[in-house]
Amino acid sequence: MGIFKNKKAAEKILSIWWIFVLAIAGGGIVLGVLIYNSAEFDVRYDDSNLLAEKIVNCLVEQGKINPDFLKEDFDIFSECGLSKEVIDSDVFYINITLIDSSGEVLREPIYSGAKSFQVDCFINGKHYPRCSIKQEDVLYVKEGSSEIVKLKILAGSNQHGKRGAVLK
Amino acid sequence: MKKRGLLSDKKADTVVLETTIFIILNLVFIAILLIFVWSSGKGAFNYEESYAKQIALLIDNSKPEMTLSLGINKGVEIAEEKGIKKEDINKIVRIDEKENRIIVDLTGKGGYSYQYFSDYFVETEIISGARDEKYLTIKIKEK
Repeated sequence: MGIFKNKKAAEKILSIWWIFVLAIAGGGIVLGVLIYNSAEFDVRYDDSNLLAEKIVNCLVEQGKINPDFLKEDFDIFSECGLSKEVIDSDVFYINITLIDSSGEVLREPIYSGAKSFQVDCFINGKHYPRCSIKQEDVLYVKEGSSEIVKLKILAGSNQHGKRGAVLK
Repeated sequence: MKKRGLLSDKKADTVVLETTIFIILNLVFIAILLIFVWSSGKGAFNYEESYAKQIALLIDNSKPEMTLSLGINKGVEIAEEKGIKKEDINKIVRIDEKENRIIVDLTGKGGYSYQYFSDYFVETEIISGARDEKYLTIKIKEK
């Protein structure tokens, strides 16, 4: 009680102004730390880049396009070691086209995953996917003749990890 | 004169005491803030996310029959601090084969998970290296 008898000192300790200053400073620091810690490590671009590279490595061997790729029953998932369930989920997308020098499509394009990525990949924004485009000039050998054709791969990822996942 | 001197001493003592309490309260406030910032900086959540994503990217960047090694000292240290028993340390990194998901759980509260898109069979194990450093070995096999 003795402390509060001195009006000046009591004002110093319990000053609303001082509490306000401490609250603002403390609140600012706490808020800053929480915002910093809640920020996600964004690896979506790395994800999409790896996916595109994996497909290129699988379809192109020593500069030549894998001849099986032109077959209708070519299964990109089993041939390239990709999980169909994961790619077909709504967080990944792949689109593979093969065109000749005149721009003609040499086989039906292969695509899988979230179709909206075809447009979303070109929109900048936190909630839009990060995508990787790879274009490779490859040798296409058919019936003894060969020509340079273009292999275009668009791969996208919009994967955000999950917290509190339970192992099934 | 004597009376005034006593009074003035008492007043001075009170001012010193009050100033001391004022300084102590401010120091306590600063200490609480510093403890908060320090404990947030070494939070398990950030490490769980970072390890899960690193492991998923490593798997996607690998080929079958590869064995990868990742230093996981800090993760093991945090898990032990959070009360995970030594015999359960291998469970801090788990694989959900059904969903191709890496789960890193350093606190025993569910952890953080991230999917890898490669269709591989993955095995993980935490081993001790020289000077008791902890490594996570990731064995990649074809399904």
